[in-house]
Formats: sequence, structure tokens, C-alpha cells
Amino acid sequence: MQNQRDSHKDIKDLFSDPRIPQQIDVTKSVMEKIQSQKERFFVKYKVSILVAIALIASITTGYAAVKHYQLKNPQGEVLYQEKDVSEYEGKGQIVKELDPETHALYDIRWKIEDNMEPGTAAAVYIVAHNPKKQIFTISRPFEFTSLVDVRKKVGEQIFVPETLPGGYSFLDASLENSLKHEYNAEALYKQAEQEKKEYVMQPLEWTNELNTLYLTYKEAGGGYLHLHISNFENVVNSTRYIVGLDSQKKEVMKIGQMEVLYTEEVRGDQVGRQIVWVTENTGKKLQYELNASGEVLNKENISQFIDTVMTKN
Amino acid sequence: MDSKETEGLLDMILQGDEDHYEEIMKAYQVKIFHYCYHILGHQVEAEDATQEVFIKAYRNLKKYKREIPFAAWLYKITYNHCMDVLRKRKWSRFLPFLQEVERGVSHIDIHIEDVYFSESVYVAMSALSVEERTLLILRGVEEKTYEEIAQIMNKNAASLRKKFERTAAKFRNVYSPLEKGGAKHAESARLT
Repeated sequence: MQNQRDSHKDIKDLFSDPRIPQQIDVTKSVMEKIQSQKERFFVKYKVSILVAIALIASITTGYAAVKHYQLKNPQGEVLYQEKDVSEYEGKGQIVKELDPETHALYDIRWKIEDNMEPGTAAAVYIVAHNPKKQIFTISRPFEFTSLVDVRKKVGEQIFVPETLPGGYSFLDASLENSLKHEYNAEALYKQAEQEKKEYVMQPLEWTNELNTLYLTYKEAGGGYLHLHISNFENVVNSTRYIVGLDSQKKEVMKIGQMEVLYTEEVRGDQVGRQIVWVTENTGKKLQYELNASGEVLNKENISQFIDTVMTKN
Repeated sequence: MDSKETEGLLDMILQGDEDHYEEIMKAYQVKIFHYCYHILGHQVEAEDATQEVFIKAYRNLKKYKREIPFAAWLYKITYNHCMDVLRKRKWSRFLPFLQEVERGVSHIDIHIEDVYFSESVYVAMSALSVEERTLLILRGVEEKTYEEIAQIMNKNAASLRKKFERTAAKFRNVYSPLEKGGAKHAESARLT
């Protein structure tokens, strides 16, 4: 299998075109603006303080208007909620600075993944650039272009529709189940030492529990719909943090007994539309997310899409 | 410029020696400009955006937390700024010229030269969302790691990885070099 970096060489080459301007110097103009803004700041400082005091009340009101969007089940329990990423308070979100060693380590890690066959997983020990002797769990999702095959793989747990409203037909899918994290680290270290290899790996087994299923549908005119179904069971506080939540237009809608979050977002000259809902029908929480561009999905026809996707659930 | 050098300069700037900000800009301005150029598809707007990004970054230097690399923080500001520019821009004003490309009108070749280097690439990039364009440039061209891109875009690195493959495929699908009556210059590569 081709190395990923090589496989995208065509794109890199295209964007290395000599016609792309190579020289720019904004230092002088930026420094001038910084200087002039600084001077203006001192002149306006006293006035600004007074204005700021007057504005405090409205600013406070602004903070109070921070929005959360929640989907609840008929019992009133929150199944799903969205908040802006600025409200994220957990630790570990920020990856520490990648020093050259870590960079080199991750480059090898990605190279290994690129060369794995779809539907395989392994515990991998990379010898170089790895002073903490970290072991990576690396997997490649199963890939499908046949509806029969993907249905066979997911079994009864999820219904995979052949078509979606608007003339969209199944195109392809990728699927990942949870992994059994069963490997012997010491054995990997020993193997690496004995075989003097850049890295060594032990295959890992998949469980039967779906982690994520990504389905693509296509219509004759070339438009795509993306249906993403994922295990939402262990998501902390059932919360997803969204970048730029304020720039999205959202509305919780009721389809039968179920609440659905409808989103519109302007993307360039198009409007992206999305619906999200969460089910508990199979005894565990599954999150469904349907993404579309243009008018194919709108507030009026949401129920058609949900009926099609949930037919057998 | 390595991270220690950058941090040293940032310390000096924060202590009041603002002239060192020029050195920071010199180190990053071409990269930031290229990113803006491809995201906005317009040379002059990209130059303006680069200026604005460095002004915004300067104003917010005190808020910069050292847990993430300075470059990632700068790209994050750039990403958000380009989103703002595109939101404000009346995209439709570019459409007439795109339609003329299809009809093979030659004067637009001159127009595109001042704006963006290739109309074929412009058309293909226009089919992508800002997020997708960002991913294509940062991963496909600048070869940043998914971890770095995740920091810039506030996304999950694993999902970006999958999304990049789809974005590259989408880009290739739309991209088609105009060989006759279209582009003034031959394209550098035909994507397959």
C-alpha cells in the first residue's frame, strides 16, 4: 500500500505551483498599525472607562445568553447536548507541544497505519523516538462498497438504508467496532530487542460492539449525504463541544416522541444542514447524524429522513 | 525558528520590547499568507488577512497559553479570521467569472492571474468547505500532523484523519485542469 504522504503528492505538487506568490512582507504595515493603535488607546482610555461602566449591564446579559442545546427522551432525561467549545472545562484536550522527537515518532505511527489493511488493528511498539516506550493501538476501519456486505457486518443492531429521500443511493461505508485491548507489552519490547526492527506489532481483535459507522449516499447529480452512526454510550455528560456554535442556526424539533436537533450553517455560497438524534432502542445510546448541503434536507422533510433511517429500529 | 527562540522573543515582547514582534512575523508570515491565499482564493484579500492576523495575534499575546505551539495558536487565529472574511464576503460576486470560465471567455485569464494562480484549483477549492480547505492545505500541502491540525481546528485528530481522505478525494473529483480556452498557463499536474 502506498505511503499516505506519497499518495497525496499530486495535491502537494499542485499547490507548489511557481505562480503562487512567494514573497510577502507585512512587518512594516503591521508595526505601524500597532503603534498607531497604541497611541489612540492612550487618548481614548479615560473615555473608554466611562463607556465600559455603562456597558457592564448589557455585557452581563450577553453572558447569560450562552446557549446549550439539549435533546431529551420522553422521560425528560437529557440524551444529548451541544455546547460551544469555549465551555469545555475538562483536562487533556490540549495536546502538548510536539517536539521533534515526538513528531518523528508520530510520523512513523501514521506510516504504519497507512500501510495497514482495512479492518485490521494492532498494538504497536515503535523503537525509535520513543523514550517512554509508549505502545500505540492502531486500527484501520473496515471499508465497504457493497450494501449487502455492510449490512452483514452490522447485523441486526443497526438498519442501513439502501436509499435516502431525494434520490440518494448507498455509495460506501467505513466501520469501526471497539477493540479488545489485549496485548503483552513486555513481549513487544523483547521482540523488538531480538529482531532489531524499527517497530513490532501484535494483532488486536475487534469486539462486536459498534464504535462508529460512516455511510455515504450519492445522487445522480453528484450530491452527497453523509450518515454517521456512533456509539454514544460513554460520552461524558452526553455533551458534544462545537466550534463556533454561535454561527450555527439550531432548533430542537419534535418528530413523533423523539427530539431532533436541526442545524443550518452557511458555508461559502452554500448552506450546510444537519440533523442529530439519539436513540436508546437497542439498550444503548446511539447517535445519528445526517449531513447535507443545499435544500435536500430541510425542516419540513426531517421526518422522511428519520423514518427511512429508523425503519427497522 | 524553533519553539525556544519563539518563546524567548514572546517573553521580550510581553515585557515591552515590541520591536521583536517583527522577527516573529518574518518567521511566520509567508506560511500564514499561503494559508490565507488558498482559503480565500484571492491574493489581495490574503495579504490583508495576513496583516489582520498578526495584529490580532499581537493584541492577544497575553492570552496565549504556552501549552500549544505558537504556530498552532497563530493558525487558529488565521482559521477563525478567514472564516469571518468568508462570512462577510459576498461570494456571489465571484460567480460571474466562474461561469465565464465554463464558457471559455479568455479575458478572465487575466483577471484570475491577479487573484489566484489557477482557476481550475479555485473552482475545486470552492467546492470544499472552509474546514475541508483548511484540512487539505494543512495536511496535504504543509504536511502538518493531525495532532497539530486538531489543535488549530479544535477537532478530534482521528476524525480529521478520516475526513482528510474524503476531502482529498472530493478535491480530485472536482478538479479538472482547463487545457483549451481556459487557463492561460498549463496546469502543473493532472490529478487522478
